[in-house]
Amino acid sequence: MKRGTKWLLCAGVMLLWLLASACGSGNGNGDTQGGEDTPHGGNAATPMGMGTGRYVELNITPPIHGRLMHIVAPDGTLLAFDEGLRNRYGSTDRGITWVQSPGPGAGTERFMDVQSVGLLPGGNLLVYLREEGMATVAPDGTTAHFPVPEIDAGIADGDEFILSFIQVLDDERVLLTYRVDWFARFMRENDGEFVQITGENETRTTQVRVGGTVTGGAGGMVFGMGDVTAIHDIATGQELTRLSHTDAITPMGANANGDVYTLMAHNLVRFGVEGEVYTLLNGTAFAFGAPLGNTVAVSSLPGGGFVAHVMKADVDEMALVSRLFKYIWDENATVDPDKILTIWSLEDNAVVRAAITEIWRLHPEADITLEIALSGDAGISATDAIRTLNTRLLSGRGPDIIILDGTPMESYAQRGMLLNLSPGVDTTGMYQNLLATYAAQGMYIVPTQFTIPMIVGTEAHLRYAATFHALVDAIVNGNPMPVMEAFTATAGGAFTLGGTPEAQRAMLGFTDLDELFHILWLANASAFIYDNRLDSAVLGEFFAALHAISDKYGLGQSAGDMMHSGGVFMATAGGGGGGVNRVSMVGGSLMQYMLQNTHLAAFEAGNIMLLRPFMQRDDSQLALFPGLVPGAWVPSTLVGVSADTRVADFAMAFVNAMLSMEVQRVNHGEGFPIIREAVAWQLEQINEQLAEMDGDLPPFELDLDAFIAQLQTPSLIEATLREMVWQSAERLAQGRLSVEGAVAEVEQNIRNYLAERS
Amino acid sequence: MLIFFLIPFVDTVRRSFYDVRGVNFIGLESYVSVVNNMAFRLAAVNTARFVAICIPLLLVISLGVALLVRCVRPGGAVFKTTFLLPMAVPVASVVLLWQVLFNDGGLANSVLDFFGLPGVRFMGSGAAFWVLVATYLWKNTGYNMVLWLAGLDSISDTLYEAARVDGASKLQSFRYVTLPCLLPTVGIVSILSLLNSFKVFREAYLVAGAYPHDSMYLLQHLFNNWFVQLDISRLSAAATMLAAVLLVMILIIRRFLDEKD
Repeated sequence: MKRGTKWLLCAGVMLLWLLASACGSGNGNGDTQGGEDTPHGGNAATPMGMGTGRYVELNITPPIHGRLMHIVAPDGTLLAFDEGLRNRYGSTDRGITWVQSPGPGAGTERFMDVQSVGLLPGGNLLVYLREEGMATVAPDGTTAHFPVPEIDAGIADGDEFILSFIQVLDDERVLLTYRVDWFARFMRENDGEFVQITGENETRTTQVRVGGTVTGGAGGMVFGMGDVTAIHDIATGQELTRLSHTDAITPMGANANGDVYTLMAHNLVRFGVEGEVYTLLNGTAFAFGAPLGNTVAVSSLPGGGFVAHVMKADVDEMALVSRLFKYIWDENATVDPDKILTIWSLEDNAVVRAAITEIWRLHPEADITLEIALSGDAGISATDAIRTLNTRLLSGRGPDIIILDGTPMESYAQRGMLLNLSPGVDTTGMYQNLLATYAAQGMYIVPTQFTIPMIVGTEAHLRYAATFHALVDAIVNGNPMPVMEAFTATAGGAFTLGGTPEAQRAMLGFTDLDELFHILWLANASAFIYDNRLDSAVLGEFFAALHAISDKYGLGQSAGDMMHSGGVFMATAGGGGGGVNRVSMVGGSLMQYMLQNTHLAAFEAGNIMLLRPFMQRDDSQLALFPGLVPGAWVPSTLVGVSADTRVADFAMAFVNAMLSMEVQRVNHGEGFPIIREAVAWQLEQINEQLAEMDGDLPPFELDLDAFIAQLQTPSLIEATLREMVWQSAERLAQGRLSVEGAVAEVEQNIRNYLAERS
Repeated sequence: MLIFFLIPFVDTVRRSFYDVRGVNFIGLESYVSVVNNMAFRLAAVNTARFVAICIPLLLVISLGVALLVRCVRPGGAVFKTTFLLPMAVPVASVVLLWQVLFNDGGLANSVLDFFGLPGVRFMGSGAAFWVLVATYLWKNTGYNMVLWLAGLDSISDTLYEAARVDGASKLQSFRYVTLPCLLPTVGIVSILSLLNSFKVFREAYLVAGAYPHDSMYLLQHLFNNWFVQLDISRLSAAATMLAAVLLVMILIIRRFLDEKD
């Protein structure tokens, strides 16, 4: 073989090898949400920001205040009814105009419990009436019984049914989703006989999701059970496809072509026949992805497009209201290239989503992408996600906005990777003492929410918490924790829902070492790690206190347990506190206090609504948790703008949106708002709500501003440092290390961490 | 070579003279900072100590194993395969094994306890270094053995015949025939062992995380942490310095072997 031929052969093999390597690189790291869709089923879908045209959102809510029920008729006519079917609204132009007429419920209270309606071919409605069963309702309000044997039999036995979905498929068949005694089943009518078509999913479950719109009698019937969604043939009930997914899905819609649309991880997606998932619309830009929205139905429109029925918490009215949104493909819609923004966050964040909704409202021509690094089944660690982010930042293709929680934010700021926000961000309404730390030499990082380590108790007992050491002494010299055998009272146990006698109450309670460490860390860590150095003497004080409290309450025995039993969930988000779809965890310390087993409770306060119930016990008062640093507070939802962004002005507009009253006044469950006016507004709303509930209730008087004025020192929120100290704390509590040994161990472990940064 | 090695290397060298964003020239600032950095010094010393201890040990042990396997007839192939098995064990399994063996309440401490000896914090004391050394030797002995066997097979039997005719003992044959003939192999095995020694970081990182005990804090830990911190200028400077040291070491080995030839 000639030399040239050999060389060519070698080069060819090398090229093949390189190509194979490139192909093998696969799908990337999966740190972004969603994907791309291909035109399908008459609904052309091009990723936003690419080419011309995009989906636009139109609010087509008829003039109904409160909750509504809507139907998409097979011919595309939209029908809506208000509560009690009092008024009927019809639209033949796909929601552009509505014609109001008296509904079948005008002048009667009979239909007040109706939650779902179906439209029968003759124009009558199909509804479920409590204690009567299914019924057809004529436009004049007259009703006729619609026999459904199982429902009728259940009512005869005294069962309670909740009809959450009614879909009329054709003249002879209807699709019902109902719950009885909190269990759910799907039924369909077949030649006058109802046949269960749930296939092998016959087990009753509360996990069933509401099925979707099926037009023209074709297509598949869909329902989801937890992380599985099955698609059935509507005629035979046979299961066609089974889809597995990690994200929960909410109401689905299907069109005549058998395409199935649903919401998954805030995005509108289409399921392909092979089970593949295509993201059609990124929820960050639309109402159905808003944090305080709850999408109750998705319907596909004949001829293309969708209608979403979203229940939103109206922060002004403190009530849930219905909104109908239509999504249609607009060939002429364009995206302003100066308003294409990418936002990166390690974890999902309600404040960010609310700000996206707000900026979208202000700039409908914008294209905003939210990338959540640890979402879904990406299967990567936080460190992996940060490495990926760093690689992108170094290549100049990083996101424009970075939500800095969990990132090495100070390093980013020091190395010039973040933009100075001082010139473009309005901080006048913010608590200036909180901003001071971040605005010393240019403002590269802006906290938009915060929490405070606090302590609650009667004035008499709060005297014991004047200083950190006084509190520790009071705990050590006080009573031990009452025995907590279970949540139910037992004859021999001291733990009862009625509380422990005052003389036997412990000073403070913690469910486990983790809870104790958490609060002590927040209030003290900045005292022993600062300016990139460790103060061993202060760390010794910290460990001595932790050791003393842990020994007193026997927390060392629970250290290392995987199960933490101390928290309960409470729904708390919304306007001033009203809202439905966010929950906050209440720590064991607060629970013990509420149950009157302790004199004091320590907790990380970040939710005004949650403060009120805890202050109802006796004459409870709040105070900052006394730490080794004055006025510790915990910044959260910290935002920065990449120095390499090409849309600096719009990025700053987004930061301003995060700090706007529209976003800040809502209780997102991420912390207190950093805007003074928003804190006052939330308090005001709570009191208005209280007055509406019961005029005799005393107003919730809380001078949060007075506490916030005392805040001086941001807590250390670096996870690696916390983990290093925690490991030694755990061994200390378990008696495997002395205080001196724990200090020495932290010194050793932390040395390289600090040295790397010097 | 150009795409995956040379261009990235040149970019790394360039970045060591620029700030993180690669915009402002900062000269030798990163190099000065790296040299003065305590973490770098510790990592460099640990890495050098690891290399200095592991490579000679590995060369000797793997050569001994190769000679042993070669002597065993029949059954040599079985032993050969056995010694190669650690290479087939995935890193994740090795890490699991480490945890089972060397955890505070692990198997090793149970054995010590059985004999009435005090427990050892293998991962939280100087013992961590020796665990790392043992892992490296266990993992790489088989591979080096194969290299040695190839070298041994290339030595002509006539040389041994001539030595035996001249009255040389087995030890003398080894000293005056085998070793000199293995010199070219020594160079290859040494360089490969040196490069493989840097791969032990995977096990160390997966077991002990980004901040292990001082004794097993290697340069790769530092590089990894600096990357997470986006401290690219110092990372590039340190990487450039390491590359230079490795190049010098390889050149010295080559020079030494050339002289011997």
